[in-house]
Amino acid sequence: MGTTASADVIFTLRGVTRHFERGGEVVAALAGVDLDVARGELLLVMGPSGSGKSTLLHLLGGLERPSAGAVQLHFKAGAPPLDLAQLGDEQLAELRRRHLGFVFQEFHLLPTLTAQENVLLPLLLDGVSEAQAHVAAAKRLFQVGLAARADHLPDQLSGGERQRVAIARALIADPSVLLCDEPTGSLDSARGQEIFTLLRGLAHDEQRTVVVVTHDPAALPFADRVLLLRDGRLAPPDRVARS
Amino acid sequence: MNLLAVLRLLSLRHFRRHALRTLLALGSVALGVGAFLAMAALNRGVLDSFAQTARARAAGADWTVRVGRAGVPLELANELRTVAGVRAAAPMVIRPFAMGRGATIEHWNVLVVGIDPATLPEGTPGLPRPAFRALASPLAVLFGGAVPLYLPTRVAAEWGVEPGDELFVVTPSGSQAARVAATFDAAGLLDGSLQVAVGAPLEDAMRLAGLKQRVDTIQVWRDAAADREGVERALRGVLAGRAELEDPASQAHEFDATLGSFRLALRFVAWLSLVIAAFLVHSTLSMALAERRRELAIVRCLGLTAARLKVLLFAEAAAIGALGGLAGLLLGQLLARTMGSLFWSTVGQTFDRVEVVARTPSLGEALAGLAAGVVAALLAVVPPALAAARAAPVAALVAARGESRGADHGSKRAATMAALLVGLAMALCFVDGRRLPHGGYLVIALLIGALAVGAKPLLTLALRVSGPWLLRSGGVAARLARDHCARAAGQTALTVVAIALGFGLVFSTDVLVKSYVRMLNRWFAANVGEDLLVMGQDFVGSGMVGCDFEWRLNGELAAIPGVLHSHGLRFSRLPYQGERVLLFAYDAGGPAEAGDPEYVAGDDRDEAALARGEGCFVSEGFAHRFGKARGASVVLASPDGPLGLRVLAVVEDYLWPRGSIWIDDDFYRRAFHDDAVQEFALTLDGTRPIADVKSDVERVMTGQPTALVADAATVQHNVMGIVERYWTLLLAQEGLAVLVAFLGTLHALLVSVLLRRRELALLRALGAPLSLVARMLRTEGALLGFMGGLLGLAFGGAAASVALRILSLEEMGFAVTPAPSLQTALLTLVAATATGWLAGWLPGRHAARAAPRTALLDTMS
Repeated sequence: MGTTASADVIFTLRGVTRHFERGGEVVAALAGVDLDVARGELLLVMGPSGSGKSTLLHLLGGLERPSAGAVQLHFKAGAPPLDLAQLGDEQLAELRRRHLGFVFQEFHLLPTLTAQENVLLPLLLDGVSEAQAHVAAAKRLFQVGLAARADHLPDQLSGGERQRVAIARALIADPSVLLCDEPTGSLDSARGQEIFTLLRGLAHDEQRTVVVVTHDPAALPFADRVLLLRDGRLAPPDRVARS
Repeated sequence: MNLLAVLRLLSLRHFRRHALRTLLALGSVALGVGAFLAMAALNRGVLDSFAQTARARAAGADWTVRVGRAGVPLELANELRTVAGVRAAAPMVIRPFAMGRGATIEHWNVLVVGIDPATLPEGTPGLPRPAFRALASPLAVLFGGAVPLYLPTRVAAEWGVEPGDELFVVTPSGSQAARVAATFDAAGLLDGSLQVAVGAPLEDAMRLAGLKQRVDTIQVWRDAAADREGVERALRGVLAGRAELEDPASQAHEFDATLGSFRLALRFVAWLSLVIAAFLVHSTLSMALAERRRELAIVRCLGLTAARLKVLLFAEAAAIGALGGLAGLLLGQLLARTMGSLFWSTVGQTFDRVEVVARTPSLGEALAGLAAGVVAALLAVVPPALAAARAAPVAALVAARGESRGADHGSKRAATMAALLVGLAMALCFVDGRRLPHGGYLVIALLIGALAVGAKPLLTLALRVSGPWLLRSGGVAARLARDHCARAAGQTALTVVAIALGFGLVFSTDVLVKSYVRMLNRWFAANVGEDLLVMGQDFVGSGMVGCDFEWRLNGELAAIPGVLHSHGLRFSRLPYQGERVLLFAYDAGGPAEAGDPEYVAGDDRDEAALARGEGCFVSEGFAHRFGKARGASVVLASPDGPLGLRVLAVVEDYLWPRGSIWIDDDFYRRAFHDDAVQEFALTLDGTRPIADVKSDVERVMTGQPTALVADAATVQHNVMGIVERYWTLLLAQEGLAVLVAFLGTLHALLVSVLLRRRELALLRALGAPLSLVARMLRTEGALLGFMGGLLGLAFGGAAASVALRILSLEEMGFAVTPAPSLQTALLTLVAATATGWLAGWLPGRHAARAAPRTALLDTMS
């Protein structure tokens, strides 16, 4: 299934189930998912709409808690893992600020802030001084090729540029994990290729774990591993290969 | 968290981007704080004006000795001087007269202050010694029979007179010759700022007033080293019930009392304005947070904890409260000045001898106002901040993509809670006011709570019922507007409550005013059965002080053919248990045609006992205020010593807000040795035309140039004119409340449009014409206005009833039957609907202008 043989695992999910109530009915978004995510890999999670992809990503990012099962995060090989379901709101928020980066399909940039201000916001939330935050943000914008657009507001940027700002923001705290929800969903194919190239570099060159939820088949060549979710369950590897 | 940096980056940037809405939020706080401060300053200014006038009239004395209009025996001054620790006891006549030159009365209500300079203490601050010394000038004797008058230089200049010029003074026994003896730079008692006051030798002033061996007051000064309480005890011992000893400042009560119901209404309106403003801040911030749900969800996803989010939102609210409060301070200064001048040019006209002290908010009031602004903003943000912090980041993010919808669950719970609050409020209405002080305010607070909690379920029900009708009558625009209101019932309810409070205030004020006016009209019709009234032209305007007439004229008037009966009426304000009550003397043995008292406890047999001098009647207010029911005893100071009176009956009477005591006129003259009256009330027998009788009455009164002869209807009309003038200031308050309600509605609809950008863009993308979108928003505004207006009528009617039945009873001792007007109710409803429609116009234009594609892509940043 979704487990890996490597000992260098950063996420371990065992029997993870997530239910929602919708219109009085209980709907299972995820049903008994077992999964290991390796450090430094670019993992693609694919599947039709409503299959539970985003829910899986939210569970990895501590934005939601499982109804059953465990989501464990291994910061360092050999160290005791963190069970995300057991962490409080404060601890989860700190985890998101310092160790996890998020990239959303709709970018979710704050329209009132410039590109640089959007990028540095997580550092300010973490108590870093403005001066230091500005330096760090400039560096990240340079890294994603947007140094020249630092003072532009989101609505002055193209879709691809906005997504690169979102990636720079996700990287600002130097997280070991990057969680991307349909990062190319709002982009054309050329901009999509650019984004996946950038994400692959972050995984392979900087040893960050990158988990990408996507519908986009153009992402397949960039992935180290591909998981297929259907009706809240992970499909067997052979089915992934066939699909 | 780097709070300051985050505040600057997130909050300040947001406020700047939505400058109009931020200004509306700040404006709500500023208006509330400003109105509150202005009312506080106005109240203080009024009280200070009264107190300052009272102090100035007392000329720095420690005590004033009085027995109402009857006057104090002159010899009492000698007895008081024998008390150890008394530095001086100065008998004085202080009375208003009309004066003129030639044959024309040119000056009304001129205060003649009669003093014997020899009785005044040396070195008393505020006393114009040189001027008063002039009163003893030997030159005075050269005037022969003319009364020497000493005019402040300013008054002499205004009148255009010089020493030696002749004047006349209208006295109860006719016109008396007077002459300007000297002019001087006045201060204290005769300061020109006390309107017009002139000095006269004591004996001459007594002669003018028709006082025989009596004076109006004796001012008493003590030695600086003497123990105040000890001297006061000794003075009371000497007086032995022959007169009351008062603090001079207590005269301020008399002025203040005249304003009774008006100030109650003013305070009621001021507090309600503050509540409306606080509620609007709540509504504004709630809507603002709903609009920012996405932004807040993003920062939560980026690692902002729920606790820190709350800190951030509270800091924002505190900043809005503080900034709005600061703006409110400035506005309060401005409003205080405006309302002050409005007050003195309307209500204050009644007190034409009051020295006006203009007050602006004090430092303490300013700080309290500022704190109120911050606290209101903080309290307002608590529920939405807690809700925002409670929401899971992703859930908020997902919800933010669509329109935020008010949670529809909990409607039954809210309806139950509202019903409970209303039930509790109704139960409290039956609790005795003396056991629950200020219970009326608690009842109104419960009603506001019920309105806030119950608005949503009521709205939901109303929208459900009205859906099909709206579709039939208003077309698609109306149906879409209704659907949105139903979907976002939570936010819609906030707007409706804001409108309901604003227009409820307008309606309740109208009910207050109309109820008081109707009560007075009814009382007038029941009590004033006479056909013709004779009184000083200044009688009504001076709050029943006016000039005196001799009692003997009553006989002449009664003898006029066609006159069935003539009452000589005496109105005297007496100190009683720290208040000034009204002693009203009339002919209790008069015929039934002259009017009957409205009995609260007692009947006509008691009036027969009253005519025999067996006791007194007291007003309902007096009975309530001093706990004197039928059969109780009331002890008054009188020239012959304490006068015990049994309460024979309790009657309905609104002559004086602090309560009144009625006694028979013969009994009054015997007990108080006072033969003067201020009014004659004549009942005709119908054998002659009223105009003929009136001519004869005017002939009898020829020697009384100040006398006004009028039929009862004209007098009633004049009295009601003065009463209605009192309420002018309330209109300014109402205007303010409507403005606040309008701003709140405008803001709510603006935010509503922004929250619905996608929905509106979709409608446009599907081909809806611009006019439909704009019409839909105007209809929505009108719908909210109509529902707010309906709720406002219910709330305003209930609040006014509480004010009339409970607050009025608590503060003035009588309850008033509410008199809601159907016409005003309809007008209020129309005005609320129109306000909503108007408030929907601007957002309607705004929404219609947005290009569909832009709006659809707007949330993709």
